[in-house]
Amino acid sequence: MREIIEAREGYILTDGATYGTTIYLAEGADASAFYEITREEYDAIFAAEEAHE
Amino acid sequence: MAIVTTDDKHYRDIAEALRIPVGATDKIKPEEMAERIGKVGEQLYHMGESTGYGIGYNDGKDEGVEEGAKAEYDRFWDAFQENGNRTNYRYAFYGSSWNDSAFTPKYPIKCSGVAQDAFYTSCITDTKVDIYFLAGVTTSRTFATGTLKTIRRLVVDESVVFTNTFLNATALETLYVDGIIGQNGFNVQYATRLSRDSIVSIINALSSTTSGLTVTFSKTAVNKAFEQLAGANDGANGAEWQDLIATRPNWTISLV
Repeated sequence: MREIIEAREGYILTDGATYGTTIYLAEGADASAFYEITREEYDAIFAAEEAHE
Repeated sequence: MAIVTTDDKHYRDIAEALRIPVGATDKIKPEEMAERIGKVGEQLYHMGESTGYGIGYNDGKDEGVEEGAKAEYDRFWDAFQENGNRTNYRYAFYGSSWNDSAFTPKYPIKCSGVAQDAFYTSCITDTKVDIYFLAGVTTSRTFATGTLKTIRRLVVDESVVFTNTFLNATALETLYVDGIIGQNGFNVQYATRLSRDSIVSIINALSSTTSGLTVTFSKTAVNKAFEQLAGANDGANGAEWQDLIATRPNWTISLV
């Protein structure tokens, strides 16, 4: 049975690699690995990803 | 010389028969008719020659232009895609000059080298041909463009890693995935208009034997694609979506 975790309004869940507001964990995955970051922090992470090499 | 009596209607008919074919309008006297008969044949010949030449020229020109365009198309795409053997497509269709009119590939796009930035910032809306991500390919920002609506068929090798492959693919509506997604990083979070069939094809392509991997979708797309009532945008809460992702319990599925 999957565990589903949801971020609070304005926040994004992450484990450092996966990001989402709703995360359907794989069976056996550890929900405690996830923590919340703000939307601004998330946007900053992906703005860096968009910077072209 | 014998003088005979005849109906002058015959002369009028003969004159008319001499005028009509060549578009003449002058009066023709009986004593001129013999000479005109001789000339009308010559006139008709030249008219036919001119018309025939014109028709032949135009038909030949049209056919020649078409053949020439085809020859140039083949020459360019045979060279650009190395007769279908090209494997490195880095920056191949980079930039706004690449649009649907210019992008008319002859061969499927088979990438086993670098597919990085292949369509980065292009104005192409439809990939038109099958695209293969073969073993060893790098996929960073391959489809990082806000204009691409349709990826007709993306065939994926199980070993392929996805790295921001669909970054900013905000226009993407159709993405049919074939093969097996067996590595991390498949992320279409920017595709808020991704169709239901596309999402289903992606889920169905997820490896059923791996563990610890994540696939990411746009929550807006899922809510719309699987909505239970028209306009409710509640698809992520619905049974159809839940049943779909239940087929891949070994995958973490994230909605952004």
